[in-house]
Amino acid sequence: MPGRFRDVAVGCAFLGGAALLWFETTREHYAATGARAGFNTIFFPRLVLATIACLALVLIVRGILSGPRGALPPAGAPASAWRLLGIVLAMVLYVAAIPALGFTIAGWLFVPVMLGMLGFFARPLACVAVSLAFPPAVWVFVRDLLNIQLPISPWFNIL
Amino acid sequence: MMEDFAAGLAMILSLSVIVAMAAGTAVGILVGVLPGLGTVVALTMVLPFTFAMEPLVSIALLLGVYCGSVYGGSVTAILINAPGTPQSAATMLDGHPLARRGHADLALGYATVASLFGGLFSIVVLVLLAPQLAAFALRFGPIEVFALTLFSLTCIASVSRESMIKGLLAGALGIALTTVGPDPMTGDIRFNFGLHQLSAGIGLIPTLVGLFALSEVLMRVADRRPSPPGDPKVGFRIAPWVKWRGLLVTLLRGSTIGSFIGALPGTGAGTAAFVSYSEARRTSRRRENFGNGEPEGVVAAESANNAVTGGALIPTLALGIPGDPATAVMLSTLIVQGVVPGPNLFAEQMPLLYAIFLSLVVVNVMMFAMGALGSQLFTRALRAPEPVILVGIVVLSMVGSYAVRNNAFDLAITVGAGLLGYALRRNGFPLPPLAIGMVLGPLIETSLRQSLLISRGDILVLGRHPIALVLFSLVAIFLLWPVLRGRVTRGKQARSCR
Repeated sequence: MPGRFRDVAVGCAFLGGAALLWFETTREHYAATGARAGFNTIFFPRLVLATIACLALVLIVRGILSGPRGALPPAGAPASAWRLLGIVLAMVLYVAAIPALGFTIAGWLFVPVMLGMLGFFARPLACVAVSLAFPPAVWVFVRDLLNIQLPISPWFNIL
Repeated sequence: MMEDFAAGLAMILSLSVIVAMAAGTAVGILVGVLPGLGTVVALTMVLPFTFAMEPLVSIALLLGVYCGSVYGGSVTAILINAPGTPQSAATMLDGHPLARRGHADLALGYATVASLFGGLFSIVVLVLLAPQLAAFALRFGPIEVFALTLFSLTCIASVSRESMIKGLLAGALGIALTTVGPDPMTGDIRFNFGLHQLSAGIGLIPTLVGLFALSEVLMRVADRRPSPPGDPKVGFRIAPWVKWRGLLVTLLRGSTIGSFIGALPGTGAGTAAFVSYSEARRTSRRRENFGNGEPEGVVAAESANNAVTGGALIPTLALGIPGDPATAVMLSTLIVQGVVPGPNLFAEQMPLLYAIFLSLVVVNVMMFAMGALGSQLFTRALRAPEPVILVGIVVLSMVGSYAVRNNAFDLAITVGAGLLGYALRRNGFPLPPLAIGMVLGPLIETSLRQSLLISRGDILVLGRHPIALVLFSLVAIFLLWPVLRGRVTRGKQARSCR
């Protein structure tokens, strides 16, 4: 997307989001909720949404008139969209797997995949060692040492 | 007085108290270092052990955990750009850029010394001014708290850097996120869209961890951002005295802000750190370096958030009113142990009070020593290959996000916040205002609505309270300050041209 319209698009996204949430506040459910001296439960959210809408409008108008402003991220090497998408997908699957498989087993699946996508397969021994050792090490430290509960595997009580 | 002091000193010079302080500080730093696990989690972890202890031993343990966890959060904020605790969100702004430039050792040195200074300063305030400050804090009703939070929101202007509109939008988005879940006044559920998991609201910690830590991972993956040249300096280094001399005012100001805000019930260290950071940036000669690894930013944030530890104990001990959730846990322990905080504590149990003050001093010194030693270990992690560091950040972020509420839905919130943070950063939005909005959002809503309820909807009541009026005037001055400064500068330039 040309830089000039970037702020306009982002402003529209904010405006659309604010409009959607405002529409949500018009539901009958909220009308019945605890009104006190005229300030019910949606008074504050509406105040914030109106502020967001006003600021988004300013961003859109400014984008149309003068192009994008603000500090864009520093330029690095060309972005690898597929790699990024792969990492995001791996994170989503990891998050879904943690409650289903348990923290350690999900970690054993996620860590090598992510290391591979980040190019760490060039050092296979280190990759295997990190993949095998890291999730149980975190498990032992957090669960046994700090006594903080983590999702447990449905098959093995110790992982 | 000297007899009471000597009796207090004798009380803490027992092996069990010293071991409790050391163990508490170590556990606090360890838990604080893990992204997401905050002070309250750390305190509740050790709470069951305190029931079998003597009063002073249990208090020493809790004080160690309290101070250690506040400091520990800054280590993660500096090294991996993930706030270990919400209090350390402001430390990230300059601490992590300094570490990225290869000076992690120096950044940790600044943070540790500033933490020690802030902690000790707040103890002096606690000893000298506890009853007076506690009485003043009682004059802070909802209207004054609203004015203070509005004042704190002006921090957004100072951390927005190039684009004020984008900063304000991010701040408003942060506040909007806090409106999801139960209404703080009535308990009615808002914006859950039929998802019962959202009924408890969007957790602050999972969101902050996702916003900063996961978005950092995604940014590094997408850009293949080069690591800083050379090996990152590991260990712990204290800057020479020449550097510190220029930071003394920032240290004192940050510690004063932290002690004062800490004494106000319900405000917290996150607010203090951002206010102090904002003030440092506003008055600094090197303000253009803020956000790029300016040590003054680290010192401002760290001195303030650690000064809150002593400040929050002022209403806790003098009035029996907890200053923040962490001191609420400590207050409950005191009561269980048969120590009833309040004005009588200052009149009848002075030796115990002195023992608590002295424990706090020792805990701060232990925190400094353990922080210096621990930094050798923590910074070594930076020498691991980049993929291993990134995987470590993701896994530890998930641990921290899950552990706060033992809720798997928080993991999804973390990933969602990571994607949101990435999208915002890609489009030039600063993330700190969003964090400020999320920290202050519930406080603003509650105080504003309480004020309006008390006044039966009369908005003019906000201007009838002297303290609030002073704070509102400061808000106006700070908002107009950039404009005024611009005019003065232009005037000076015009005169010099002539």
